[in-house]
Amino acid sequence: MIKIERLYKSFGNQPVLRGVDLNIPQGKTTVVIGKSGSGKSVLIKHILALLRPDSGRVLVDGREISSATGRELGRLRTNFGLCFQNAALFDSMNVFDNVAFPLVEHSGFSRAQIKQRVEETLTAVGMEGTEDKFPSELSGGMRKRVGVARAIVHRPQIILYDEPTTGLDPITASTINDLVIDVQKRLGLTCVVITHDVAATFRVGHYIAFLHEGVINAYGTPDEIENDPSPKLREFIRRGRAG
Amino acid sequence: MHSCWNTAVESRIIVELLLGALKRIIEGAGNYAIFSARAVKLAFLPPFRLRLILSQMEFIGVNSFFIVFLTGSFAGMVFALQSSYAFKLFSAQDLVGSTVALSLTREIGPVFTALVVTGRAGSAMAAELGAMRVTEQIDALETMAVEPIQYLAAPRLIASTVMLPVLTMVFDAVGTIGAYIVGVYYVGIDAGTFINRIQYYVDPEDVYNGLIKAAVFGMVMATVSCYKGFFAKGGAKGVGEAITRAVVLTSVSVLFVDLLMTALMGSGVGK
Repeated sequence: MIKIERLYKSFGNQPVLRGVDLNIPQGKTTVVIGKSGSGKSVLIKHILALLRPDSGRVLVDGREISSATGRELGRLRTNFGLCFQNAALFDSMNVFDNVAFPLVEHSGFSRAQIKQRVEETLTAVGMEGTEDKFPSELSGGMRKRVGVARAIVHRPQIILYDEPTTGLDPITASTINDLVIDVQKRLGLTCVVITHDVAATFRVGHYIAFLHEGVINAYGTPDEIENDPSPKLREFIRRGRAG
Repeated sequence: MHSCWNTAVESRIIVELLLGALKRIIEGAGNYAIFSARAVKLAFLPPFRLRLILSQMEFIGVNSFFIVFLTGSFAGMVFALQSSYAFKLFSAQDLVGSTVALSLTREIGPVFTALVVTGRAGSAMAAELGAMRVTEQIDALETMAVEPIQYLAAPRLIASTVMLPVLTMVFDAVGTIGAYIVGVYYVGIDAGTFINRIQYYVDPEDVYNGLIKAAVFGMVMATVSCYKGFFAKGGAKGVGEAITRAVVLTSVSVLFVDLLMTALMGSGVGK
């Protein structure tokens, strides 16, 4: 379980997070929604300790990641997989090497074991047969799939998705949403999805948190969020559905 | 009264701007020092990524061979030609070989090699790391619990420190051969005298000092280029600025460090 307590973060004079409190339950998908610039990506970077809070803390299974350093931070991070908005694949490596990267660095697997695991994972995300291609040869949707494969190949307990469907056409976006659901179910992972895609939110989320003006304005199951009276949330959902 | 007030305001603005610039320079120097110290420390700590180091050695060393060969041979030939004109005034053209060889081994070899390799490989380092920064590939390394400075900067640092002296040896050798061709076949210096003077005046210490300089220049090139690329921001424009700054700063730093090291090592004059 991830527990975020009273998280504050400013950049210069610009406050972004103003006391975020959020519990992310284990083995479920929690979607954090909010308009662009609301601090969603800043929040996800705090969960991985890529950014340090001005105050407050982030606990992962009771261990504080927000103040961890060195090897302890490395150990905590190996529990995570992160899918970046633009996949962030290493463009000097082919698909196989990209997906194998976490295993080569940390697993201690033999070459044969790595090959087998990479092939299994690429098949799971529907990207088998692309091992020799380079990221520049892939479409946006394919890059996201490879990004998902790289994030799950070392079997993390938690997977974070930063805007998984942004910039994709509706059909590819739907396929990526299916993949997010499938990966969560198959591996029983704790998932955190950051998005402003309302349709995707209600499709993949077991829980939804609405981040507005630096705080969690609403939190609940999709049904609870659908019936939440918060005017800002209702406006966000209405406009999101209207496209 | 009004004019005095304006002057006071302008002076204050100028002072504030200067203090701001000074603060940025000190901050930049401090951040560079921290980055470099970390890169050096991590280069000696496991995991040692031999494949990455060898790949960088190929890129920095082997792939720069041709340009260093070309620059070295022309530098040697031109230097021999120019010095032959000057020595002709004193009928001392026999000294062309030793003058060129001494200059190449002590100064021109390491400095030219560093500047040429900076233009080719240093700019590429800044570009590659800058592009990785703005496309979140460096963040991706961190999320996968891989120390980015150790993965990206340390192999480049090791490769540059090893390969710059090797390339300098190539530069020295082809430069001297170029000077020999011009001196013997064009100017008409006796081949035996040309070589004899080099043997007489050039000590192994001259060569070693030049190679030590080259190794230090390699460290400077790698740390400055990686630092500028590592902290690039603002998309393609930011990457472009990082490359320009990396090349300019490395070139200036190489010349400054050369002056410092020459002063520390002594000129060797009068030995």
